[in-house]
Amino acid sequence: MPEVARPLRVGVDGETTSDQARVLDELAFSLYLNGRHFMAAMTAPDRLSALALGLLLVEQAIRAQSEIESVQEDGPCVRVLTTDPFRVIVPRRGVITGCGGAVSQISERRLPPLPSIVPVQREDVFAALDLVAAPPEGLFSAALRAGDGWSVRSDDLGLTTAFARIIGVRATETVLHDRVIGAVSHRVTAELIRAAVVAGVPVLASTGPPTGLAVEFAERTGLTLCGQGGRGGFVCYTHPERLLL
Amino acid sequence: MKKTLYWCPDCNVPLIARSCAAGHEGVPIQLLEPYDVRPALKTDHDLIVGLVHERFGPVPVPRVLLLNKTGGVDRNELVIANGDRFGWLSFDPVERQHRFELEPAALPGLIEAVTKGVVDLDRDPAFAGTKIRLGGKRVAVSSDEPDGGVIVKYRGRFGTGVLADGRLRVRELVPVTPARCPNPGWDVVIDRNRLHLKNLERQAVRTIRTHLQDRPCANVSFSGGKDSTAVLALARRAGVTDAFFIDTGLEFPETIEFVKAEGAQVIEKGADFFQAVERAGPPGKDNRWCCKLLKLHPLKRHLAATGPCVTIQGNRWYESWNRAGLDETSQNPNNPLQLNVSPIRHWRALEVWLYLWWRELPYNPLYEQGFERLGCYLCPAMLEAEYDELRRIHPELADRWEAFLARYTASSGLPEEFRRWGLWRWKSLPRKMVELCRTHDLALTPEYELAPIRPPAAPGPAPAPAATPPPAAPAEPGAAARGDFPLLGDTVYLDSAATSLSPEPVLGAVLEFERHYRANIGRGVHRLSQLASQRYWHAREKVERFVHGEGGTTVFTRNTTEAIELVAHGLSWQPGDRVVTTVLEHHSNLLPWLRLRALGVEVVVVDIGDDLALDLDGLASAIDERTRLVAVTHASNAVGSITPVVEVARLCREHGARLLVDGAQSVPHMPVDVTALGADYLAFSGHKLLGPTGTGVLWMREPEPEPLLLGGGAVESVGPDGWTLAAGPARYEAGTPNIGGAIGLGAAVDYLEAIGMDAVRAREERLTSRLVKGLEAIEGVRLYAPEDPARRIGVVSFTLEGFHPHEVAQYLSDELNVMVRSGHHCCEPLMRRLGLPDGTVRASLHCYSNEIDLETLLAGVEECVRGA
Repeated sequence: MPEVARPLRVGVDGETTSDQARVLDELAFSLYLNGRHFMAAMTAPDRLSALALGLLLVEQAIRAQSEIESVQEDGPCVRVLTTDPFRVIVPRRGVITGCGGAVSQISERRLPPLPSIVPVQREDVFAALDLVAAPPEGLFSAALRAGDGWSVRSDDLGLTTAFARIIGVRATETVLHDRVIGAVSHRVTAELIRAAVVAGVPVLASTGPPTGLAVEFAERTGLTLCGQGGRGGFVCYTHPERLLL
Repeated sequence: MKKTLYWCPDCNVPLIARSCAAGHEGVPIQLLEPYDVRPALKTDHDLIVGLVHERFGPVPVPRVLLLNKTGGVDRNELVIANGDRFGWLSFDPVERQHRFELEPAALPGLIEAVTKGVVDLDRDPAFAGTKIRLGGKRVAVSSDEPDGGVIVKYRGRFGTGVLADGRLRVRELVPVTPARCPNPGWDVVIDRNRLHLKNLERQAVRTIRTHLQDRPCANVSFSGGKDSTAVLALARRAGVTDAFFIDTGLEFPETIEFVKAEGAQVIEKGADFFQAVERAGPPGKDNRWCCKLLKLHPLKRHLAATGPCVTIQGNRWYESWNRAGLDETSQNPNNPLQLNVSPIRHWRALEVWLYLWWRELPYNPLYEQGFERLGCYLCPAMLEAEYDELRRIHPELADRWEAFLARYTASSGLPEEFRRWGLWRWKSLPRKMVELCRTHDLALTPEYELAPIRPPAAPGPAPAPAATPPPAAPAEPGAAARGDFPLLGDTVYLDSAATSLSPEPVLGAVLEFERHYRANIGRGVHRLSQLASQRYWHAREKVERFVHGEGGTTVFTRNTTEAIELVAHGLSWQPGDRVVTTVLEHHSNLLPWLRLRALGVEVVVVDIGDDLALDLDGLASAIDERTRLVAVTHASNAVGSITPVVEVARLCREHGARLLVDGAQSVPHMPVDVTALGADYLAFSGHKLLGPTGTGVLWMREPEPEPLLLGGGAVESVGPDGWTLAAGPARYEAGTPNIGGAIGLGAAVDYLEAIGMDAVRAREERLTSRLVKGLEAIEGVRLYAPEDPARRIGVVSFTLEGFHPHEVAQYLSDELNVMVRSGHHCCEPLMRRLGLPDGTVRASLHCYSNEIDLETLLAGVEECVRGA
C-alpha cells in the first residue's frame, strides 16, 4: 500500500498531528472486448488479466477461456480479443425490468445450470472461510477452494471485482478443480449469487449475513448458501443437501 | 484404316475380318467415321433394351449389339445388330436424357412383338386424305403416342419416324417381312473370330519384340483402360515386365484399384488440379493445360529415373484424328528419352474387347457401368452422357467439380448453361455447340466463346476466417499441408530462400485485416483501431516467443536488410572501432558495415574453409578489444552452411563485442533460441517465414541503437525544442507500419509452431540429403553444399557444366514450372571466393517442399545435361 506524505490525524479531542498513514491502492480499470469498451471498474491494481477474464465470464460475454485469442494489458486497460472478434455479443441482462419499468427482478433464466449435486465436506467450507476470515484492512476478500486443496484468494476494494478475479484465475488453470467452494468476507448479495452460478461454483459461504434477495435467488438457482461463518460454525440458508455434515 | 465391318449372316455375328471360323464368308457393313466400333457392354445393352421396350413394348433385342460412334452434340452412336442398322442411341445434354430412334432395318426382327409406339397413318384422322410423298417430310397427325421415335404404318408398309408437337417426320417406308434371326452371345462371336485374334496377337507381340532393343529398357504405359490392358498383356507375352501408371489425382477409385491389381508402378501426381484450376480456369478440349501438368511432368520425373526406354502404348488410329496417322514407333516429342511403340494402333475397339474376352483378361469394371473411355473423371474429352454416369456412381467426385464450376460460372458472369450443358469443355466452342447455343438464344463472342450475361462478379466477402486457424493435417511430421499453399497446385517452388510461399491461414489473416478491421494502430479509440492495435501487439508477442526472445525488444521492420541497417545506423561509431563479418554474408549483412569505413571504422571480412564453413580460427584472430560488433549469418543463403553461432558468441563475450546474427535463413527452418545463441541482435525476414512480404524483425537484447526514423508513434512527447522517445519497440517504428503484414507474420508463426520447428528441421535435413545425392549423381553437376547434413540447411547451390546458371533456371521454369534462383544470390564476395563469376543455380526448400518437387528438379537438370 502506498503512503501519503503529511496526512493530518485528528484526535477525538480535536488535537491534530502530522502522521504517516496508509491509503489503499485504487485503479480506474477499463476492459475492452474486441475493440469495444466493455466496462469500467474501480479496483485494486492486481492481476488485471485475471480480473478481465473473470468479468467476461461472469457477465457471460464468453463461455470459456478458450474463446480468447489474446489478452493485452496496457496500463489500467485490459484488451481482450476473442477468436472471432466479429461475433455479435449480446449483453446478458441479469436484472429484467417489467412493464413500464415499474418493477424489476433478477432472473435465473439465462443462467447455466449448476453442476449436479456433488457433496462437499463440512471441513472444506470451514477451510474456505478461513481464507477470507481476515481481509486486509479496508478491503474485501474472495476465495475459491477446491476439494483437492487448491485455492486462490483476492483482496479488492469491492467484492464483485475480488470474486471476478478469482473466477478468472480459476479459468486459466490447466487442471480441472471440482467440488469448488466460494467464500467471501462480509455479506453476500444476489449479484454474487449470480456470478457464482455462472462460474459453476455450487457452494458460496461468507463471514457476514446474506441479503434476503441473495437467499431467495440462491434457492431458485440451486446454490448452497452459507453465511455468518467463522471457526465456531456457519448458517446454511439454502440447499443443505449438498453438505456432508 | 478399315472402314467396314464384316458380318457372318449364317452365325449372325460380327467379324473382324472377312472369314468366319465356322467356314462362312462375312458381308461388309459400312461404318461411320471415325470407323471405330465396339460391343455394347452390360450397362449400354440394358440402356438400349430399356429405351426400346419403353417405346415399343417387350420386343426382342439381340444379345450382340455393336456401337459405332459418330459426331453429334454429345453421345451419338449407330447401333448395329443382326448385320444391319438397328437404331441410334444419343444423349441430349440439354434435357439430360438418352434417346433411341429405331432404324427401318430393325423392323423385321421385332415388328411382330411391337405393342405400342406405332402411328398408323391409315387410321389417323388428322392425316387422312393427305396426299404427299412421305419420305423425309413432316406431316400433321393426331396420334396419342408420346413425342419421340415411333414406328410408322402406312398402306401396308412400315417405317420409322420422329413424332414431335403433333407432327410426324417419316424417315423411310419399306415393305417389312417379319424374320427370326439366331441370337448368339458374345461367346459365339469370340469363337468365330478366334483365328483372327490369334493373328492379331502374334503380329502385336512380334512388333513389340522387334523394338525391345531400340533402347536400354522397356516398359508399358498403363492407363487402366481397355487398350492399355490389352497392350500390357501383349507386352508381357513379349517379355516386358515393367509397367507404370501416372496418377493425375483425378482418377476413378476403381481405376487405381485395378492398376494396383495389375502390378503397375503408380507414379504419384506432382501437382494438384483443384489448386491449379482456381488460377487457370476450367481446362478445355482446346485448352488442355491439365495434361501437361498432370501427365507430362510426372512422366518426366519417371523417365529421369528409368533413363532412355521403349514404352509400349495402347494408342489406336480410330480413337481420334490426332492418332489416325500413328506409326509403329514414334519419338515422344516432349521427351527424347522415350520411344513409343504402338502395337495395336490398327485395332478397333471391337478387336480390343474380343481380345480381352478371348484371353479372359481382367479389365476395369467401370466399362461395365457405361463408360466408353476412361481417364481423368473430369476430362474435357468426356461426353456429358459419361459425366452423368460419373454423377451416378461417384457423386462425391462430381460434387467437388460442380462446386468449382458453379463458382467459376458465377464469378465470370456466364449463364448457367456453361456448367449444366458441359460448355466448359471448350474454350472456343465447336460448330455443333455453337448451333446448340444459337438454338437456345445463348449469346456468343466473336471467338465463339459463351458470352457473359452479367458483369463478372467481384470477389465476394470471404468468410471471416479465425485469426489463427490451425493448419490442415500435415501428411508427415515436419511437412506443411500443400493444399494450404495455392501456388503449389501447378508450380514446383524451390526458391524459398528468396521468398517463401504463404499458407491460407496467413493469407486469411491479412485479408481479414484488410476486409474487416483495417485501421491504424495506437492512434484511435474506435473499435477497428483497437482491434488492429491488439492484433499487431499480439503478432509481436508471438514472434518474440517464437525465437524465445522474451525480455528483449522486438521491433518490426520491412525485412532483414532494414533490421541490420537499424543497428548499423543506430550505434554510435567511433574512428578505430572494429566490425568483424564474414565472406558468407548476404550483401545486407555486409554493405551496412562496409559503409562504416567512411566513419573510420575498420571492417574485417573473415574467410571460409574448403568445407564452405566459417573459418572459426580466423574469426577468433579477427576479434580484438577494439571490436564493437561481430556480424555473422546463422545460415548461408547461398551455400547453406550453418554458422556455429554459440561458439562465435563465446568469442564475442571474451572481447566485450556485441554479436549480430542474420537469422534470415535459420529462423524459418530450424528452432532458434536467441537467448541460448547468445546473440545481442537477431535479424530475420517475415517473407521467408511464410509471412507477407515487407515484414521483418529485429530482436535486441538491449535497445541500444538510436532509431532509424523519427516520427509519429515513436515518441512519448514532443515540444518545440525536443522530444522524448517512446519506450519499448514503438520508438523504432515511426510512422504507420505494415500492420496487415505483421498480423500475417503472427499467423505464419502460429502455422510453423503448429507443425513444430524440430520436425521442420528434421524433414528438411532429410530432403536436402536426397537433393544433394540426386544432384551428385548427375554428370556435369558441381555442388556447393557442406557435406555434413547437420551443418547445412535446405539451400543447395550447384553449377551445370556448359550452362550459365540463368540458362538452367530459365529452362526449368519454362519446361517444368520449376522455380529456382540463379546468379550471385546477393553474395558476390562469396561467389568470387568460390571462383564462380556467373554464380550458381540455387534450389531452396521449405516445409511445403516434397520429394516430388526434388525429383522434378532432378529430371529437369538431367534434361539439360542431355541437351548440352
